[in-house]
Amino acid sequence: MIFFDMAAAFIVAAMSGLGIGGGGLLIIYLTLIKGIGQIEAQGINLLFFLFASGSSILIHLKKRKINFKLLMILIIFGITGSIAGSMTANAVNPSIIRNIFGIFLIASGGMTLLKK
Amino acid sequence: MYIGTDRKYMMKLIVLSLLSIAAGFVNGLLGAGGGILFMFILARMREKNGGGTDSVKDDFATTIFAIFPISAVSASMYMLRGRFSFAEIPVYVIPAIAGGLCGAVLLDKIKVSILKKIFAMVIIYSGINMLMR
Repeated sequence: MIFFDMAAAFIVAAMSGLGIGGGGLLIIYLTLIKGIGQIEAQGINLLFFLFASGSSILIHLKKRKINFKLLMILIIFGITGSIAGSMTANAVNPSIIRNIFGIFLIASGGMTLLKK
Repeated sequence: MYIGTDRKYMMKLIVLSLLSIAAGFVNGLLGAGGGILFMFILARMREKNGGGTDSVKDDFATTIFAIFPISAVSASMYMLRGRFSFAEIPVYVIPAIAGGLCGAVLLDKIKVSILKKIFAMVIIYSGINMLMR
C-alpha cells in the first residue's frame, strides 16, 4: 500500500508542477481509494502541497517573471480568506464539504474541458 | 501592476482583493482549489490588459508563490483543530518533492494539453462519485 501512496503522491506532485492541476487529486485518492475522512484528507493535501510546490519554487523563481506587487495582494487577501475557509471547514458537517468539493471538481473539470 | 487613473486603479484593487479572499476561502474550505481560481483571475487580468503577468507560465509561477503561504496557514488551522497529524505525512514527502521538481523542469519540455483533458475527465468522474457517496 505504501508503494501506491508514494506513486500517487509523485504523480499528483508532478501534475501540480506542470500546471495541469493536482490539488484535488490527492484528496480524491485519499477519500475514494483509501477511505480517509474528507476533512482529514483536505488537511493532508494542504501539507502535501507545501512540499510539492516548495520544491518547484526555486526553479520558477529562476525561470519566470513574478509580479511581486500583485503577489503581495494575492497573499495578504488570500490568507484572510483561507482563515475563514478553514474555520468553516472545521465547523460544518463533513458530508456538506464533500458535496461542495464534488461540485467544485465537476465545475473545474468542465471548465478545463471547455477551454480552447 | 498597471496603474491607470486613481479611481480605476482603486476599483481594480478592490475587485482583486475580493477575488483573492474568495480563492483563499475555497482553499481553506476544500483543502484545494485556490490555485485554479488564482490562475483564472490572473488570466482574466492579462487578457484585459489590466496588469498581471506576461504569460500563462508566469501566471502559474505567481499562483504557486501565492498559494504556498496560503496553504501553510490553512494547514496550520487544520492541525490546530487536530484534523490530522504530521505522522501521516512522511510517506508523501519524498514523492511530493521529487514530483514537484520533475513537473517544474518538464514544464518547458512537454505539451500538456492532452494530459489536461484526461485530468479534467478524471476529476469530473470523481466529483460525480463524491456526490453519490
